[in-house]
Amino acid sequence: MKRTLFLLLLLIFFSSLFASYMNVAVIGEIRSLNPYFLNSTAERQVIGYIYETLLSTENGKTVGLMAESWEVDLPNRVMHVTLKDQLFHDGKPVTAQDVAFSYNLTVQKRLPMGPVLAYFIRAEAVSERQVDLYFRVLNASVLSFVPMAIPVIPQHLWADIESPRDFPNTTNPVGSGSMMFNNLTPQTLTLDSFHEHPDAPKNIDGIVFHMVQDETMGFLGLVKGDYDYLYWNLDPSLASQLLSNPGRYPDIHVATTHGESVYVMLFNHRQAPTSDVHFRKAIQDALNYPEIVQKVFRDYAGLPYYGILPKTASHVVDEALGIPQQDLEKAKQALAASGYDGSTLKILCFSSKEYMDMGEYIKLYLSKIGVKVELDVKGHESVMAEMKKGNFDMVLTSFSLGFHPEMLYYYLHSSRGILQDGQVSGFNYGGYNDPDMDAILDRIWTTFSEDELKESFFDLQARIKQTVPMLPLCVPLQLEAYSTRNFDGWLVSETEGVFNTQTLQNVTPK
Amino acid sequence: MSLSYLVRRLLLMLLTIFVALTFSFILIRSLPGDPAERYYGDPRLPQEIKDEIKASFGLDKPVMMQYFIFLGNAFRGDLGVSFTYCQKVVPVIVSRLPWTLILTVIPTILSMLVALNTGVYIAFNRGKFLDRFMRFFAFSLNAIPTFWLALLMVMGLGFYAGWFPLQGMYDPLLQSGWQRLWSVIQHAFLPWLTLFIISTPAFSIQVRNLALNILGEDFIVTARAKGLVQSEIRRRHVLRNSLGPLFSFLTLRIAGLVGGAVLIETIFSWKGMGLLVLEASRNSDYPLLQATVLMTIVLVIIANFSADLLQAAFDPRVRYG
Repeated sequence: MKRTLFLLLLLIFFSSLFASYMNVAVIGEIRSLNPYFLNSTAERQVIGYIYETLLSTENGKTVGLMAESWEVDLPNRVMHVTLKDQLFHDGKPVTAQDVAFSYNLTVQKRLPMGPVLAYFIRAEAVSERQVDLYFRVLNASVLSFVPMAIPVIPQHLWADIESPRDFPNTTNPVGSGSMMFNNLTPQTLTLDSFHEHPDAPKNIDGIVFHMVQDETMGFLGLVKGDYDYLYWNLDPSLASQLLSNPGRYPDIHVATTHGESVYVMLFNHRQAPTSDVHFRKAIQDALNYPEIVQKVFRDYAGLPYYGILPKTASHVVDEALGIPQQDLEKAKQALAASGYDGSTLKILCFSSKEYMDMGEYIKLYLSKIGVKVELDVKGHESVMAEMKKGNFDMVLTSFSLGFHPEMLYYYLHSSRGILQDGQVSGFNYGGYNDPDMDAILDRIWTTFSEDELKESFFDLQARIKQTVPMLPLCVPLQLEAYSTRNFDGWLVSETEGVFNTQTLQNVTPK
Repeated sequence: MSLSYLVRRLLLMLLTIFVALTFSFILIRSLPGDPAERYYGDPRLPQEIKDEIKASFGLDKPVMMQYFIFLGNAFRGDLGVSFTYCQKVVPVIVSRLPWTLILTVIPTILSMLVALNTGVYIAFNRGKFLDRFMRFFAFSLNAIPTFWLALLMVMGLGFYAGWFPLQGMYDPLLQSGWQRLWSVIQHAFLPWLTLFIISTPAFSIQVRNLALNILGEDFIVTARAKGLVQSEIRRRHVLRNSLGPLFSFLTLRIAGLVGGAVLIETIFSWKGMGLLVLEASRNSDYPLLQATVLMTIVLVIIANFSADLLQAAFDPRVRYG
């Protein structure tokens, strides 16, 4: 008996010595694991490992995550969902009651999920594994958003939480995701592999997420071997140094995949000269896009399509529309046709390096056609405040459109650009107002057919090329740094990068 | 120190805290938007839901009533709920404060002990090579920016030599208490060393100047006339008389460091009060920002008061009342 106990203790001791945790650095803080109140990028990055939603997207298509199947009853604005057979991390089964509870909690407690509160009414468990979701408004966009946004939480643990707003959920967060909570310290979050989940890592015990304050320290940690992966997009100049001299850090690798964010220049359509399509086209023709990509992003960016959508929105992008090119003569002619009076315009831009550099190059190109501009560099909050007031001539910003191209509705539909009490009522900050564009966007929102959706998106991109409501500048590549010092078996996916489900299932400790 | 003086000081402390609370309330209310905007700010939300959310924050009440509710809660120790931590701000601050104290108190006390000896020693050697060299050395070190020295430490001793962890506070996978304590010491060593190197020269010069003043006093001449040896004069008269003013300096410095170790905490990813203030302001977490500022004000007031008490305790000539 004693010998067995001793051997057991010895086994536990040695297994703890050889426990293999992957070390991942994240920028910023993980302060709360309440899936309804995510305030930092780091929290958003880790929460998906603990909690799951009914649906998700894969290569631009909607796929079931917790949902085995689903049907849409459009006339009655109901979605019928059948659940997969799954377990929560505490061993209890995920039921339709849990799903209904999670959805109803959002509405009853007025949790900060704007579109959900606006479009969703209630959920009802029909049987142990079937749940019906009732909507106030039902269209393709709502369906592609709501079931992907609400996390499913266990009713038996959350039923007594009076105020979810004051609940950090940091002692025992229980979800049904591929990893389960181990501990949270002020500097790390440790998650263990949840082996009941089909996507759980197979050969590692878990992941330790280290919260770091800046990218340089994270990179030093990667080189030293403290971290195996940096959970942010690497600075292009650093990526360039690493890739041009691979012998210097043989364990460090950079995965280069297509980006999903598009850098754009927004125009204020409420005032001249930016409300004039000739002026906007003049600016479009004046810019040297390959030079921006080369000088600002060290060639780690793609050239934009006229239609704004990036390559990652592969199911709807119209590559045939082509890429804008610099043509100074054409730009001068367009400028002459516009009502530009030679006044100095301001380009509002964020105070980060790439925005300021892009701004400087744009200023240079525009000076060649006689457009005078000044950069108005401000911090993030100030730029957002000016944008919300519609108080700008032009502004440099970026939109994440690769996985949710339908978000263009919010950026371009006239209903999203109305000024109320000095504030823009949506994300169409420039107040673009084009009935033809509205009609196309409405079509995108109400269609459920893939072919119709593609056709509508093609029309949308053609209209963007024709009217230039905003100017696509470039699509930065996704640059991820990882180390093979402690783990082998990293797999790079063109759409998901290197830190993906396949990698986590495939990596083995060295 | 008379009792009436103590009561007066305590009342003054309370009044200062009350004024600070009022100012912080006015400041937060004068910012654009309101504290609940992040919950109802989505333009797609129907107006009735927006109103309901505002009401749940008490923002539907008149401003004066909001102010009295705020004061009442504050005096009960409830400074609101942090948007980013989803919990009351006081426990958040209480969980961070010890880490900042670990980071700042140890090197500050150590540097003071070293400075006391070196400062008095060089004061006794005034004008000599050692004095000139130490002053030059101290001023040079004092001119080094803290963040630069911290980065040098990280690069030299953490990255290239690999002797210490680059950042963090301890290894989260260690289970035993002793292992964890050792891990904290390992992680804290570089920030301690940085703060020690930065603080010691300034302290030494401070002590030297104090000691020089004391050396000019009549009782030192008397002590010399009595035939006391140099080491006795140094220990019994100079060191002891330097302690009072030094303690005031030390308490104020620690109180200042509680909110001011932002750079060190950022570089070493040390999750203390400095980083908390930075985070709160970056995320516009007004309740947290307000509470951290208030906490710093209260700490400075308390430190000031403690410094007065210590000064009186060490220097019999100091009398308040």
